[in-house]
Amino acid sequence: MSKNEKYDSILAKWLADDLTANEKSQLQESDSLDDLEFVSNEISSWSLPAMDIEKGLQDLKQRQLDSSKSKIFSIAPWLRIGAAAAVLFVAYIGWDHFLNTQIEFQTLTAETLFIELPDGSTMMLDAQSTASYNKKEWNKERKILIKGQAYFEVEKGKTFIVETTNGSVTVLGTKFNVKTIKKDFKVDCFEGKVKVKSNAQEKIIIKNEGVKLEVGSLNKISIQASSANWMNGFTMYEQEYLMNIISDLERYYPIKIILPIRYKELRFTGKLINTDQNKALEVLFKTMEISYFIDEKGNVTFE
Amino acid sequence: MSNAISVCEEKVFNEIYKSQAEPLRNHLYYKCGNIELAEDLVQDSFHKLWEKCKEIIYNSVVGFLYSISNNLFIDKKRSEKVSLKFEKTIIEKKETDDPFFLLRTKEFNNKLEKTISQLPEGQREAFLMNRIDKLSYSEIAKRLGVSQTAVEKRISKALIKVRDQIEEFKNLGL
Repeated sequence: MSKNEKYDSILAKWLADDLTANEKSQLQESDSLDDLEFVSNEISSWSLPAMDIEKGLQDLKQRQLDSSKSKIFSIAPWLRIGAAAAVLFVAYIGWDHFLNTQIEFQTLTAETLFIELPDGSTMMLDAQSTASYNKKEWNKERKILIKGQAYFEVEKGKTFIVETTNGSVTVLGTKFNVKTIKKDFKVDCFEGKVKVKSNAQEKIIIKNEGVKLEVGSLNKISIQASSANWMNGFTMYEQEYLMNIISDLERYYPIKIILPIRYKELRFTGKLINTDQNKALEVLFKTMEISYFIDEKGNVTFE
Repeated sequence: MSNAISVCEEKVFNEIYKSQAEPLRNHLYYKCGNIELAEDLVQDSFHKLWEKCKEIIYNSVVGFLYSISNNLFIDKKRSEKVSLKFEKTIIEKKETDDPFFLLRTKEFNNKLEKTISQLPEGQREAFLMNRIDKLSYSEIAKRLGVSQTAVEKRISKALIKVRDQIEEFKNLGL
């Protein structure tokens, strides 16, 4: 820490009454604490008008009642899908025009979205992910395109296909999770049976099994959990490349991590939480014994 | 797909509103200086929380609210000039041995107000969240999505600027 940074820290601690008597007297000598104390106390005595909480709550309830009628989708009109299907973009909310068009979903950083599909199947879309399907065609073929990560619970019926840039997942009726972020591709099965096609390879997995695309090879793995961990706020990693972990962190937190090339191939095993930025970064980098800096804009850099 | 505490439950949602609405409003006010806008943004943010209540894990609620309100704020941002006004009770002590008795005035407090309004947004937010809403540095860090060290730095810089107003005020002979 530079001299200035150290001073900032001491001053902040003084304000929070967090200094030892010794530190305090040292500060007293070099600075006029009386002035600081005066202004900080003056400002502490200010207030803002109280907010009418009851009224606010009532207004909210009314707004909720008003919007309950229409189904709400989260749509990003500027998103483009490179898939083969023709795409029509919808910018409305809650209209029956949807029956003839492509339905799009997009989640932001740290956001998740619960989606009900026309046949009663459901999916949970994780942060910074997209999903899209054709409502009109759903009766003939249940096909959905995703990017990012999503957990599915599929009703028994016609073949259900999840398409991604890394491969496709075909199911009949089951519970499974698909993770497809850049070149990272993983499918976990929690119930039923799933067929995964990727890179000219095919694997069928059942409950408690998963597949992972590693260096072009689709490999079977066994999984511990009974449901997708990310929905419970954390991710378990087993010898995972730091590069892939960074991608996940950037989906859950508003940060940007510029990892030096020498760290890209390092692997981490452990549990990272998705709901506490400081804790997640600390656990990851402390375990790897890498020191990092994070600035006010959320940029993470290393020595 | 179940969490221990469901944000969709009315009792839970109401509790969140009762404890978080005002600090959130204040935080937005520190950013823009417009009480109506701040309150509108609070309502919009909570409406979004309600819409997505099935997907937000209880522990992520505060983070979600601050993140969403920040995004909504950026959309609605109007002018850059911010002018904050606070309610004050100024007790003018008449003791002759009070070194600050010249400063316990409306004029000096208004000067402080102006100085704070002119601080960079980051410093202004952190400083006021600590002084007015009495949030700890770690709570502020979590809400703003920055490190505690960054919070300490912002508050320290703000404090120094505010303190310097004493010299200025005295020098101007007011």
